[in-house]
Amino acid sequence: MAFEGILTVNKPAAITSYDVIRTIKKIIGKDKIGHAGTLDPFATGILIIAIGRKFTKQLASYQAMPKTYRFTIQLGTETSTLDPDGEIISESPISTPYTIQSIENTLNTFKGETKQTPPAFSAKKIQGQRAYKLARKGKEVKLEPTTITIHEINLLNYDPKTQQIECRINCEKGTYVRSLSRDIALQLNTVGYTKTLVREAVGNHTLDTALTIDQLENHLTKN
Amino acid sequence: MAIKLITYGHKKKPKSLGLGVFDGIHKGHQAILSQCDALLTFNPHPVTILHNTITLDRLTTVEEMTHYIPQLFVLEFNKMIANLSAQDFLNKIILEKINPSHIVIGYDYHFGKNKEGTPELFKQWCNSHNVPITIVEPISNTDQIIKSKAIRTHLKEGDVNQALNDLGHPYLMIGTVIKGDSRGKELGFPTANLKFPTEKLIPKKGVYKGNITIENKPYKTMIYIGNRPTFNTKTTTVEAFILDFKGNLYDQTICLYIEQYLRPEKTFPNKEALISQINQDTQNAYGP
Repeated sequence: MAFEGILTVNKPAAITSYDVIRTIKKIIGKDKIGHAGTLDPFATGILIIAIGRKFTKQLASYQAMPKTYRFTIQLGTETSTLDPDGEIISESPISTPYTIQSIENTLNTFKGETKQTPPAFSAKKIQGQRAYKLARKGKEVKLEPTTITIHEINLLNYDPKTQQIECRINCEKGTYVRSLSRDIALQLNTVGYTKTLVREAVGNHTLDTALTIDQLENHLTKN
Repeated sequence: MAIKLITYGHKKKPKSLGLGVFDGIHKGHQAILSQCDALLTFNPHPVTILHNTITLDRLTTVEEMTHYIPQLFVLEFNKMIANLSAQDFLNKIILEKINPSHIVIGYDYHFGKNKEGTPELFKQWCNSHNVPITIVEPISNTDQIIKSKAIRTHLKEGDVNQALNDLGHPYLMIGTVIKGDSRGKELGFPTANLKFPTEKLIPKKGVYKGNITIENKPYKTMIYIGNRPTFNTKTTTVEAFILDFKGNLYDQTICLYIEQYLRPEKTFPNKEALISQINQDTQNAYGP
């Protein structure tokens, strides 16, 4: 019998979440394959994949789990997609370096429940249409802010030379790290985009037990 | 409780890592720093966690430490870290989280639960992990080993200039400019009222010579540390009269460097006497 079950895959950069599903389809040819939450092409880390009807039914529960992200914010530059794949739309040079304390204080203001406007380039629907489809056409995208919950937010690194901040967060579903980086930069009186993004955990599923793309074929055909 | 480690500066693996609290960055500390391109320090000061009752005034805040080294690792010191065995500290923090190519410690560096980790133990661990280690001997000023504790005492109530000498550099105080009562301006000497973090050590009351760096340019400054007898006698204020500077610094973060203690504070019978003294102080410090 062909493989059925839940897989945690470590998505590499430069491919879409759907590319991972296509790769799996090529290996086992199954119809019912889904994932529990998109990771942008520039992002890496945990992608939960469900194979088989019995398991795709469980995807919603995975989607609802809290997630841990480690990400880097590039301060001083704004891009159209809020990530490194877009075009630079504005620059706001930073004259004096920030202090660790001021950055930590800013990060703490995002702890708990806050309002967040999703990115224009996102799968959010506006009157039935995907926001990214409208954004790609150059249309103005107005998205309603939603309530997000961040349980933990920690500063990992601040490099005053490159003006990059690295953080780790643990949050509830619906949190867009790309919007969070934008908002953190605004609070620091500048602009910013998410330069790197790693989804380190979905619920208790962590990177150390995730399969790489190369390991998929072996894992799926072993049964 | 998770291990909280913040890196200030680049994220690359350090070539040479110095370990310690380094409060003061005095001449003894500098003997270590001069051999390092990164430091691992602890915040809050371990003494405040190990002995709950002691509040400690910092000679150097974490922010100020970033001015002395290009890469700074700040480990949040809490009960969990305090209870780590010496081996766990070395394996879980030094090796796992930082992985430096070279270690530099002072002759008296202790670590781990109950200070069970000694320089000798560190040396053995480094040898088994193929990490070279340098243990730096103490620096003395005449007959006394230079120590942060003595410098703290001298700055607060003793021989300030001796303390500055032991530091080997001006005393850096990073703070913000807050609204004062414009009294200085009324006298013809606009002063910046400065606010510092609560844990920052404020030197004893008196008149000082120093400089404030604004946009990388140092400006000669006269500093007055004292109470405001007319108002609140409990809070010590720090006022800076910046020579040859015109501008608004409200809410800005500034770097104040204290270079020399000039005289104790005095009360004056009237405004004219005070103005005359300030002029005299400035002349004494910087010439006519």
